[in-house]
Amino acid sequence: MKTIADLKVGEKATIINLTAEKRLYERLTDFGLTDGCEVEVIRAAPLGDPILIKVRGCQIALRKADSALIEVR
Amino acid sequence: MEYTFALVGNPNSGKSTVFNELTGSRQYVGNWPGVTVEKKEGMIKNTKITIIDLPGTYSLRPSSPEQKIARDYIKSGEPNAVINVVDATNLERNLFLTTQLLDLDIPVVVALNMMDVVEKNGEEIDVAKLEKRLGIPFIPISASKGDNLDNLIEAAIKAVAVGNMPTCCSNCKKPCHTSAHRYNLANEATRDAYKKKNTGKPTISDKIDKILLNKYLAIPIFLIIMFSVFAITFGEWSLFLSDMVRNFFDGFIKNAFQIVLTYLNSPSWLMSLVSDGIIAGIGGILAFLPQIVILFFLLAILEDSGYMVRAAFILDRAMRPFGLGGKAFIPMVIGFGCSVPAIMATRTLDSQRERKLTILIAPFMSCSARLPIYVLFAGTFFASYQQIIIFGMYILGMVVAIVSGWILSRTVVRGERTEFLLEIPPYRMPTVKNTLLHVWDRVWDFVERAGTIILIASVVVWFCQAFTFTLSTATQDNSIISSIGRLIAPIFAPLGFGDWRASVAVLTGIAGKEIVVATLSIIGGSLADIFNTASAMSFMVFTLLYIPCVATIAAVKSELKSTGWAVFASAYQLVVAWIFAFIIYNLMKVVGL
Repeated sequence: MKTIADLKVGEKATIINLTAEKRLYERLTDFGLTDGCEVEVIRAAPLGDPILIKVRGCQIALRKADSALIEVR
Repeated sequence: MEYTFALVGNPNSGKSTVFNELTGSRQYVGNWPGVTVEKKEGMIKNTKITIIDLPGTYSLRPSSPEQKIARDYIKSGEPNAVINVVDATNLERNLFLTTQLLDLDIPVVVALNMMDVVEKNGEEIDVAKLEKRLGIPFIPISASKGDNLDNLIEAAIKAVAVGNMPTCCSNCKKPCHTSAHRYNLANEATRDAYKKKNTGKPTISDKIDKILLNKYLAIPIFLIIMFSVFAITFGEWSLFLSDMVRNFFDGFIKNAFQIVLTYLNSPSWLMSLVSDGIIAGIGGILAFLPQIVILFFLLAILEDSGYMVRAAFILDRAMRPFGLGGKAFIPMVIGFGCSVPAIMATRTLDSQRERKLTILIAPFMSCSARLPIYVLFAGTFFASYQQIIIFGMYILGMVVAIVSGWILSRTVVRGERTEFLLEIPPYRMPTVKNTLLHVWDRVWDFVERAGTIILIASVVVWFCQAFTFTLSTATQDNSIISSIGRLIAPIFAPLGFGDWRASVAVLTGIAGKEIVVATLSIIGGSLADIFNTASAMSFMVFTLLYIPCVATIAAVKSELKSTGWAVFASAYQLVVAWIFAFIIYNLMKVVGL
């Protein structure tokens, strides 16, 4: 399954599923990372991780490990 | 009528600015999510309206401590209505929280903030459409300019009178307790009402990030910025300003008091108390005001502009091996100013484990109260290397903090790794008003400490060196302070400063680290009699790392709700300080310094 972690910088995709456990699931959805929402990878940090994504008009930083829990299409 | 309104909103939505404008108070406002870490209360002038500023939150789930404070308070029945501050430039994300507020059975009025920015961008928001869709009043405001706040309060009063409490679902049929559904609602409302100019062009903020967050440039720029902060704070001219203040106290103020006291025929003990106790003690501390003003000014700019939060993003990967995340960087930098706000700032961290760890290591960051010690000692013993030595102390503090993170995260503060989720807001030009407020707050804190705890400590130290236990006039050898000093001196003998005067300074320094210098200047005598180069260096290292001041210990205790951890933090730091000072002292001796 393709996840946000697989996206290249500049690539856009639509979220289809979150596989995070309950607490993280809640935090991610609070930030607007819900099914059907479009995300774009803006850049990676200088050391390759975390990454900066654009979601619902704002920029959110998250780690690759966590972004791998967000499946996209 | 008496009213209580709770301000609720996303972090960085301008809530604190609304609070300041309404209540006329001077709450500091930053540009990183989570500046308000506890609820603040204020009254609107000439009214009986109380405003409660709650911590910024993205959501009202009881799953995080911050969110729980906000939620519990809203549901407590104390506030009559909620004023939901919404960042209009970030409407969709902000409206998510609004949909949650609608479910809490309390009247809600939305303060649509930053409308001036929306208009400046040539965009439009149809307020009537938002009101219709969500069923609550939306009042466009600009908190930073103070626009339309009267209408906001009027609307809130009206909402209480009407008692209109629509639920999230009054306008929709589907079950709406999932985030996805709430976000859909927020998304529809935004698309409906917000006429965005979709130019697709990168914003100024994006352009700045292209450089400051560039893959190759980000880290060098970060290092240059941090180094510049030090270079400016401890540059020649700021040390020169310090000397001026010191001379002012030693010369003008001291003479003025002596003339007045002589004129009043004051007894000699009072003359001694004033000039050897109070002026020596406080003057020795206030001399560092220039550095503190400059340091806080620069830190304020880094925070307000939005750079600090980006530094957390840049550093996250590098900090992970030490059991920390990038967000821990922010409290640690604040620790250069003062450990107490640094410990408070850990409330924005993602997990309890990471908070605990950061609280335990933040006091190693060299706070401004420790600066007088380095300047005094480096100036006396290493005059030509003064700046390098001072810089080295800051680096050593950082290194010890980070290494402690590594050790503690593998021993006493073990736990699962947590996520890193951080909103990166656009850069913002720091306003003069806000920057000065920030600096003023901290500087006032410093001056207040000089006037209270340091004043009291100075008087106590003066008393203890002037008298014996039987309250007769003391010589250096039988004063109260020398007896105490001699009692504990053996602990420090292996570190090279077994002299009772040094021991006493270490002891009184626990009340506040500035008091180390105050004590030494009150006891008098030349530093060269007490220390040699090796023991001076070891003393600096020891005072950098040893037990945090009482205010910090109290903060550790209250933040971790545990006396045990406060005791652990103090004991750990004491042991670390002793070991490092021991090593440094012996190394210096070996190389013949």
